[in-house]
Amino acid sequence: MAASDTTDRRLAELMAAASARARLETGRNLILAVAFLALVGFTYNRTEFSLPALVTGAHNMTRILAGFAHPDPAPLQLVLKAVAETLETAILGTTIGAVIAVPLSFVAARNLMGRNPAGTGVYLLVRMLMSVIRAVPTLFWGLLFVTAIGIGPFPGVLAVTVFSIGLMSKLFSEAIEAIDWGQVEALTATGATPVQVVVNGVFPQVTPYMIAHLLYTFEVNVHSATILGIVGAGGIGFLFFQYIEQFQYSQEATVLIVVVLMTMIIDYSSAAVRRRII
Amino acid sequence: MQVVRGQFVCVIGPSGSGKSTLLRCLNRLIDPSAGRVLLDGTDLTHARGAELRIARRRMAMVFQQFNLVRRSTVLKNVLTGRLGHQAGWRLLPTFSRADRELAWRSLQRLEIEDKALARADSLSGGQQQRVAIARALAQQPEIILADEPVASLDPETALVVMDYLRDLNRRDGITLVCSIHHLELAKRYADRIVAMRRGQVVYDGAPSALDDAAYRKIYGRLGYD
Repeated sequence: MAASDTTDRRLAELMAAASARARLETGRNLILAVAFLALVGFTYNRTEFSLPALVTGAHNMTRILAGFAHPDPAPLQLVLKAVAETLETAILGTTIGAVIAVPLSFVAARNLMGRNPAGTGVYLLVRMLMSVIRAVPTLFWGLLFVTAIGIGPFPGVLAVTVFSIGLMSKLFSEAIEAIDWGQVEALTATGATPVQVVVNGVFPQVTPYMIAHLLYTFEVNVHSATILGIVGAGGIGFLFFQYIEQFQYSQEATVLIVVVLMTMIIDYSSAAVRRRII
Repeated sequence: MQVVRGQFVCVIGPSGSGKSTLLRCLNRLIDPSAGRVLLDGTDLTHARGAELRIARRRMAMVFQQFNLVRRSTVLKNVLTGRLGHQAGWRLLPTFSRADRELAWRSLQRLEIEDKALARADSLSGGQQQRVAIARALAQQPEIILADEPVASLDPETALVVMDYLRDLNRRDGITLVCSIHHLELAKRYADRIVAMRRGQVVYDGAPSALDDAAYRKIYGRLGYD
């Protein structure tokens, strides 16, 4: 390569600067790695992590597993009824949550709202509210509504609804923030109002993602609704808790088998739907 | 069609006529539905694994949308040009001193070495395409397949990028197969023009021989009347 001395010297300088920066980055990564390892070691001590304890306690597990080896089909009808209630809770709660989350998500999208101070204010407020809702576990919402309304599936539906609003409005608004702005510009240029732009230009872009997030939220809600019975908010959780308390491991096995089957069916079918729409 | 070593071939034709498909069949990003792909007499039509990888590293590709790894630095992007020369089992990229030297020389050749540590997506379109060509050059290819390399660039930048490609063709003897929309650019840079229409080659010859009759055959009508 016929390069003059001066350009060669400049290239050498650039290369030296690059390797200096690479060394700096390596050093920084090394420090981060050491700090992270220290953190892991700290949590290891704090959580009393001990594999020997698991081994010495293993024989206790065998009692439960022995019960699981012989699932008792006798309470099957009761279990199916309770699982149906769990599903119903999740379906209704997710639906109501979605109806409320869709409009909220547009107000919680920075690209739509962050264009003037008032919009930014609303955006920040909604975002904060949603993160508070998400921070409170569904089980706690259930406890709150059971206290207010009494035992039954209805407080469960409310708990699922509230949590869904928090989760879906976050997922939906992030989908809105990832849209192609060119399509919005094109519709704005036609003289359309902001609402028309959102309905005709933003909505078609995000609907597939909204459906996918809705299905995901439904899966999460089925999991939550499974456990809500523990606080008296309906569904299979109550039976789950009862059988464990009364050492009825064969009956507990039936509950678990039904729950696992239900969850698998829902996961596979929602994955199939997602593949078709995205 | 057959491309001779050292030629600068421009492939023209209307949108959807199969220019990109032709180029992608050559390095087998797409499998041809009919016909064969030969490189120095070796049949690549059904090549797989190491054979295909070695064939691919002999023909670098440049894309319309540059296809740089946008979040990586310019230098890292150019170093990826060396991946085809490494053992495939290497999970983490480590590049030898020679590889680094070559990457820097490639950047210098495209006169973009000042941007080596910048993130790829912080560069302008013309700069990104120069980085993409540097990546191709770092591959030490015998052939460069350029798929609409200047379609996303302004006319002046397009000339700059085409000049770099011609320089690689003339000085390094790298064979160029370049699909291009702009007929004037094709005539200016090509040794030979191949025109496609609906998946068929409808013209194959010297740029100077591409007259009104040929033009009508390619685009269905005469453009400027």
